[in-house]
Amino acid sequence: MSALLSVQGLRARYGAVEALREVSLEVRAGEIVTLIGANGAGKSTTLMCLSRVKSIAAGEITFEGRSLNEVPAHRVVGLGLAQVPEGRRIFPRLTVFENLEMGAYLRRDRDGVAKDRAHVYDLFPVLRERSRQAGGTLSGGEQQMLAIGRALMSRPRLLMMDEPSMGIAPILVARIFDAVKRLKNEGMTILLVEQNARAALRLADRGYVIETGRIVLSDRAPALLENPRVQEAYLGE
Amino acid sequence: MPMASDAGMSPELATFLNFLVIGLSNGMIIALIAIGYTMVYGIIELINFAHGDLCTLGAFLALTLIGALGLGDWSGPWAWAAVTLLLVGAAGFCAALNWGIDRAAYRPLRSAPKLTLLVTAIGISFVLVNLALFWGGLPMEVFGGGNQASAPKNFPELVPTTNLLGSESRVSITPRDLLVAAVTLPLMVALTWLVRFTRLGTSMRAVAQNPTAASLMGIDVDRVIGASFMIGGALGGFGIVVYAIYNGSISFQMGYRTGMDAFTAAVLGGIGSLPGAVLGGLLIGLLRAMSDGYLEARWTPSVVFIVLILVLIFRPSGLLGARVREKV
Amino acid sequence: MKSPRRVRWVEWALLAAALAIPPINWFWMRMDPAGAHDFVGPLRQVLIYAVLALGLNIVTGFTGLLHLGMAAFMAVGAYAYGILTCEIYPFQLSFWPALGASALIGTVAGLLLGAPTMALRGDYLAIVTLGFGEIVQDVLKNLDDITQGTQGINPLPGPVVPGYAFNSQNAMPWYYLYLGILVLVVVGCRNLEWSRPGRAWLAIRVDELAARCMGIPVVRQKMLAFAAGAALAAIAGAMMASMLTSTGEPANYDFQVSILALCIVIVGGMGSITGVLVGAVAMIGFANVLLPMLAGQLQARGLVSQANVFGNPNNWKYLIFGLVLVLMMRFRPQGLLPRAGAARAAGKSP
Repeated sequence: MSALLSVQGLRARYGAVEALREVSLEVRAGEIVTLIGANGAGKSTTLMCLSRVKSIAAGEITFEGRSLNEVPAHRVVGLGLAQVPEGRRIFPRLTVFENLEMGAYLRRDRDGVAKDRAHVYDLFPVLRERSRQAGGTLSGGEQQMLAIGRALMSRPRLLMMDEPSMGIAPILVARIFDAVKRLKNEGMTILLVEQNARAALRLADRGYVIETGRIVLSDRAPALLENPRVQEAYLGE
Repeated sequence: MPMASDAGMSPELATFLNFLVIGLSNGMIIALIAIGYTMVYGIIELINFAHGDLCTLGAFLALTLIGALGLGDWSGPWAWAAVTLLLVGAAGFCAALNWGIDRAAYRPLRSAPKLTLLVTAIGISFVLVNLALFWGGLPMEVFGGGNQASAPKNFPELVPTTNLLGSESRVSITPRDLLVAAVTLPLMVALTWLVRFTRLGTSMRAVAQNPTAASLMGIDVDRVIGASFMIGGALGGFGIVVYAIYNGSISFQMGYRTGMDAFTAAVLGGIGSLPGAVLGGLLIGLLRAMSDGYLEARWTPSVVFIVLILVLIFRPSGLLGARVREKV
Repeated sequence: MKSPRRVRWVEWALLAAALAIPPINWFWMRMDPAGAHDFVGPLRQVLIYAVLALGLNIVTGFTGLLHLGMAAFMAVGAYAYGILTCEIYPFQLSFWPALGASALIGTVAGLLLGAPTMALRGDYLAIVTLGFGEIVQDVLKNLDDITQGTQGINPLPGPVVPGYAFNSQNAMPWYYLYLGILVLVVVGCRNLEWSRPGRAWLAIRVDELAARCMGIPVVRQKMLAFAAGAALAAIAGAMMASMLTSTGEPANYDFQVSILALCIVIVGGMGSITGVLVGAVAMIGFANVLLPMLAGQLQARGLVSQANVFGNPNNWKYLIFGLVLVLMMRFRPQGLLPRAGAARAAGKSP
């Protein structure tokens, strides 16, 4: 089966500093792929390159058979690739409802948007309760749910998530990961970037390990969980 | 409509009302220009030093149109047509010029440190002031014939200063005051509608709150920023023509004073906040009028700044400002 | 930690050039009395602005506080000198004591005006300093019983050196004296840069929160930077007043002066003393020496007409300044001679 997303030889830099050197990975339809690594390894940079917010120095990004290299950032989500960015980045002075509306910014089908909103409220009931509240007044966990919901509103075919567990109470992390599992069961393809390697590998089908801008390991998730190198570096064993 | 009952009004009250009228009229003009400052700051955190000078060029364009089309001689209802032409012309010109400046000078610096952008804006303001000087030196009669580049130019009296309340009335409201209101109020309504109910307005609010996230939603951030410059420029263009008509003269350095007032108004109201710019503009207008009237005109600029500093000490983000901008 | 070698030789070169210019100019004027220009007089302005910009450099360059009101403190210094030396007032000090007292008064003004700004963040601080410029200008203009208003205070005495009486006719001794003052200021700033306050300022500039966490008394250090900058601005003001034998009117110390100082610091290289010197030479030299000289030459050859606004090179000053600023920020934002670290940092862009 050909990959939904295919990344070959991605290189990116910040000024003189090479952040990504030769990142290659692929995501096939219907699976959860996780990208794990330490702080500063290049996980967020990779996602920002895929969303085309960050410029790339070399490499090929192909989504659904179409090259994304020359596509400007604001066209990416319209092609079906959405990101839940690191740190949530919700719009603090817009209400929950308005934040979700922003997610559907490019869509014209009001009925479809309403349906998707209902789906988001179903996934995260607390958002329905707080739908008229300003996004900035939500708790960290609620903001994360809002950020995920917002990304879902564009009806993506591939959802990229950047560290959804960061800075969130464990009980809410569990709830968020349950939602991710549910999304997968509904057929969503997910690329999950995480620092919490154990939780991510338990959830995912396959995983990549990135270190200092380079993919060093790639395997099925259960195998990575058993991998001694992974265990030592990322699972604290 | 003569206010025969004026006889009952105390002179003090009449004086106060006159200051009120002057203050509100000037305040509305300041508000129009202040919006330009606040929109640009709200969306890219740039203090656009060049804004006042950009508006000045709009005033010079208006005077050029007057000279080229003989608009100064139009009278009666034609005078209002002339005024409309000037307003639209200046607004369009300032909108386009502002957009162009963003495209050429600020867009390449989107990821540069703020100070770099600030100095660029200062540089643009220098260029614009010099262009205004040259413009005033063009060999046209309206500019004094081409050898008085730096002198202030008269703006023809397209809108009379007759007192609409009757020549006996101690309180004076002139057609010029009506012009100010007639231009400002609909523009405010239109702007509010734009920001709250249109896709562009929503995208502007999103970009102001978090540009990266806005990008991820499918918003073309550069286009939105360009639109903000255009709208701010257009409003400034409207404002400066009204200013020119109201005050009867323009000069190549007028951008400094009007810009300073408008910028102070934007900060007072909370820079980045549109209602703040309007509130700030009205307050500064009223403050100036009261200071001119009850204190002394020569102290007015200081009064304005002292009030600003006091407000900032107690409300550091301005009256309506609450900048909670997530770091990109 | 010593400054990099490259920067050192530029400073020596500047000093050598500065010392050599008056004799060279003198020879030129002897040999070609009709065509030659007197550089030395206008170059004194370069020296004065260099002192002013070095003061701003402490506040904005070292400490990272955007200050748009340096003109206010220059005015304070000029008027302090005026009041202390002019015979219409009771003080009647001579040059050196008055200079020192002006610096002191400037320091106090810096502390007084700096205090309310300490709580303000970045842009708001800038706006408030802008307000100072306006307020000081207005106060000096309106309290004309004390300050002579728009007439300015004059006549003012020149420097006093044993054995020589400074007069307005001969600019060279002024030039060398002011050059000497500038050299002292540069040495002082260099020492400040590497002193404890200097390193505290750098820490505040880079990351104020982290500096606070490291135990640096941030408010105190910011006030110190403010005061030091104000002191230097006051000295520059006194120098200006003495040279012109008048304070000039308050409107001379307007926003343009503050912005000019800021441009010198940024074009030269923020935080870099050598950069500021080069920036002052480039910008003030261009505006006050080169451009008038060009204008004079063109007029003498009848190439320009007075009537045409485009003909006078002075009328192109701001256009050229503006374009240079825009182009520099686009292509060399770190300035002409940036601090060592800044050159590397400027290569980065996210």
